[in-house]
Formats: sequence, C-alpha cells, structure tokens
Amino acid sequence: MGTIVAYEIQTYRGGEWKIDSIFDDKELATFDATRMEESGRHSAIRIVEETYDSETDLTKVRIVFRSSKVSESNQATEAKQQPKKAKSPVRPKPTAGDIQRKKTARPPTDREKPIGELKMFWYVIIVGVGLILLLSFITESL
Amino acid sequence: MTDTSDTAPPNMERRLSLRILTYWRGLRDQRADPGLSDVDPESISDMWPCCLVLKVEGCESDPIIATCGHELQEHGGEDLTGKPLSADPPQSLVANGASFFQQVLSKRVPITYGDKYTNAEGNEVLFRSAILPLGENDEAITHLLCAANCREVEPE
Repeated sequence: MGTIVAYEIQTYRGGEWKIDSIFDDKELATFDATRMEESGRHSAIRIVEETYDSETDLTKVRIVFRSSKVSESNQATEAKQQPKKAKSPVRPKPTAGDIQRKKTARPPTDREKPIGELKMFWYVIIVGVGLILLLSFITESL
Repeated sequence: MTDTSDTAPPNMERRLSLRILTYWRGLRDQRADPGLSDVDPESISDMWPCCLVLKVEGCESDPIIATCGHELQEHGGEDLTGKPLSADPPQSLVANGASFFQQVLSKRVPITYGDKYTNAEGNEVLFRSAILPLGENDEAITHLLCAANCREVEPE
C-alpha cells in the first residue's frame, strides 16, 4: 500500500493548535491556508504534513506552512533575544578591581553614611557659637 | 460535466471543495460544527446540485442518503433518497465521493479528497469531493454534507 500523505490545516485557538480541515493535496491546502490567513480571523495557521507508512506502521509529521503572523512573531521573539545572546560572548572577564568594586558595592552602614548637609550646618553653628563663647570668656577673664 | 467552476464569476473561487468549505466555516462561526438547519440550499444554489446530505445519527456504519443533488445522480447514481449509501452503485460519483465518510466521523473535521474511478461505461473519471460534519449543540455529528464534482478523462 505504501505511504499515505495528508495535510492538516491547524489553527491556534484557546491556547492550542486545533485541526481545521484535512486535505490530500498540498497545493490545495496551502492555497486554503493562505486564504484563511488573509481573512484575518485566525491568530495563527499552520499546515502539518502527515506521512503514514503502512509497511512500518509509522507516521512522520512535519510542518510545511506557517502563517506569516507566526513567522513575524517568531522573528520578533528572536530579535528580542539576540542582543542578550550577543552581549554574553563579548562581556569581558571580571578583573580583580571589578571584584573589589563588587565587594564594596553594598549599601553603606550608618557609620559610612555621609553626614547630611543639614546636620553639617548645625555642627558648624554649634562649634562656632562654642568658640565665640570660649573666646569671650577668655577675654573677660583677662 | 459537473464542474461548476466553468460558470463561476471571475473573482470567485472556482474549486467546489474550497467554496463549500468556506461556506461551512462561515456557518460554524465559534461552534464545533454547524447544524443541518443552518444549511440553506438557496444560498448555495450554485453548489447544491453537487451536494449530498447523509444522515449518520444511528446509522454511522451505513449512512442514509437524506438529499442528493441532481448533478450527482447524473454520474452513475440514481435517486436513492431515503436509502443507505451502500445501495448506490460502486461506479458512481456518490459512492466514490462519499467513500471516506468514516474518516470524517472519526476525525470530526472536514476532509477534502480527490481520486479517480472507472464508471459503468468503462471511462476513467477524476473526481474531488469534500465531506463536512454537521451537528447540533457541539455534540455528536448528526449529518454529513458532501460536495463532489468530476470530469471524465478523455480516451487517447
């Protein structure tokens, strides 16, 4: 009996591929799938070729058509992933300095935190007033 | 010949199997299958003479011919309305065009198929047919809508 070939037009609905129709002729199936794609009613369409070998009782399956929406979506996904992929090979190995910087790159402790501008202002005022009082006390005692 | 493509308007799809499939998809909308009551012979008057409706509910192994278009009858068949499909002569377009109905019942999707057979006059006939499931309320298939056309191969 040999092989039997069938072409399944599948549409993507509800999160899965569902068989829409089956053809025995690839050209007719492709023509119909293209027409369906042009109608804009389906998010994605593909044709799966099923080849059944009666001698081995095995069925080979391969996709022979994808709607351009699927291709565009795949290309967009690849384009998004490509810069990430490209970055990793050219990224230089971390040097000792980088490691050191990484080690210190932690949130500063209270001790390490710089004194705020307002706090500095009050320190200056208090120290200044203290010095003036001290000087005036010295001059009075002389 | 039953090839209605010759009379189709210029921008219209010529192939009967694709036109009936488009019609069926339009009837289906969001359902699994359209119902027999959705099929309007007047709206497909150009295709209806090439159509056959088989009742399968309760007779899945040998469907009953519910309607048979006159152009199908002209190709080796006869008016077998109300009789089982097996009663149609094997060299007819009806018998050959509907021969793969079991696959449609098991897959529950439209199937388009083309092949050849030798008619009662001994001439080779090329045919193409489409069988489409019809059901009510997204449940069991109750009927099959079949459309077929053919042309005789010219003897050399």
